[in-house]
Amino acid sequence: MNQSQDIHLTYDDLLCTLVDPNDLGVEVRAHLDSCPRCQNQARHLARRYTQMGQMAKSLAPASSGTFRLPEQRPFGPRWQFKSAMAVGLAGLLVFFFTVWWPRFFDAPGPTSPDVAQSIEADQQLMAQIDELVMDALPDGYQELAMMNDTDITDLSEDLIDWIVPSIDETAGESEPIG
Amino acid sequence: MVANADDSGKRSRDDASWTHELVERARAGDRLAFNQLADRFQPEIFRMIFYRTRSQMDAEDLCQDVFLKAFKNIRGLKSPAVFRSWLYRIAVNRVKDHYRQKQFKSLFGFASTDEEAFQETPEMAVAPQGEIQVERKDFWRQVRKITGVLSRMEREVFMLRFFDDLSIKEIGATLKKNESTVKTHLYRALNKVKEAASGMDGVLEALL
Repeated sequence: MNQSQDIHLTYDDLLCTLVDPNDLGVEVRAHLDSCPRCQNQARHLARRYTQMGQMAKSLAPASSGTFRLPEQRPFGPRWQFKSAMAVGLAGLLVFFFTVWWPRFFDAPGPTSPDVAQSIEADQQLMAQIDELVMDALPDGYQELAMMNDTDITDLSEDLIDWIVPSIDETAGESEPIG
Repeated sequence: MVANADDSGKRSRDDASWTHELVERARAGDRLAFNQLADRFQPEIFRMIFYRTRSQMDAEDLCQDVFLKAFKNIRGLKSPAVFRSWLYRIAVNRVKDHYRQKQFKSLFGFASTDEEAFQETPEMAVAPQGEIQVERKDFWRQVRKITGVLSRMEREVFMLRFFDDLSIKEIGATLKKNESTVKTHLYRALNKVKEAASGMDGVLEALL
């Protein structure tokens, strides 16, 4: 025979036959086609792996049940009840977010008795301050202040001096003339 | 022999067209058709999940999830011809999620880790007595050993090819990888498996 008949397939070539014989080179393929020994080896190798698969299959347990799709149930009273519940819940949520919730944030928060007392005391103090501000001058001056509304152009300077003594006069009273 | 091959091919074509028809009907909302599809594919999807979880209970639960998810999403399936790969894809992702959840739980001490889960489970222990039980334990121990040397992708490709019996094209569709990438991973995996199996004494050593 020719030279290719003498050079048999290597183990790698045999593995190639196991993966895909079409991937073998042309010469190797030609040898395999014409060499009974290599054909036998390739068949033997393939059989070993097939037997391994068969053994795995025989040693695996069988499935205990058969798969069945769950039955489709038409919409019944249970479905209606569920949808009614869903609609009711949705309504409650709408009410909560549109009506009750804004009020909750707008309304003043509850106050404790101590805080309320403190607020009241503050208010009273503010009222007293307002009164003091309104009546800031002594009674004698208050009358004059009231006269602001009347015409005071005819009041003589003496009168004014009597009411509000000048600084010079005050100094003359307190210090001895020497 | 030729007659047998013809019968097998005809059966395969009939099976494919039957699946195609059921998928079309299921996409149109036919629940009965989907249940028939589940009858057809449940055993292999269950096994596929069992190979990865090694727990019958987990495999049962995850298998149910896979078919429920498949039914919910079947309208999005582009072609009925890729239904099998599509189903495997859902299963592979579901198993990944399962391990992710387990890892998350193990962080808080609620569950064992992936490696621990790979050990013998109570379901495996409830095997028939005697020789078969020993053989089963020995087999899964060795499968664990040889797949342990593989990277995640190599392991997935290897298992899909030889345990789940998917073609290269189907594996590509399942893992969303092109065929040459799948072949590369498979070739590397086979090399590593050969090395790992060489030092073994047991069922797989005899095979590989």
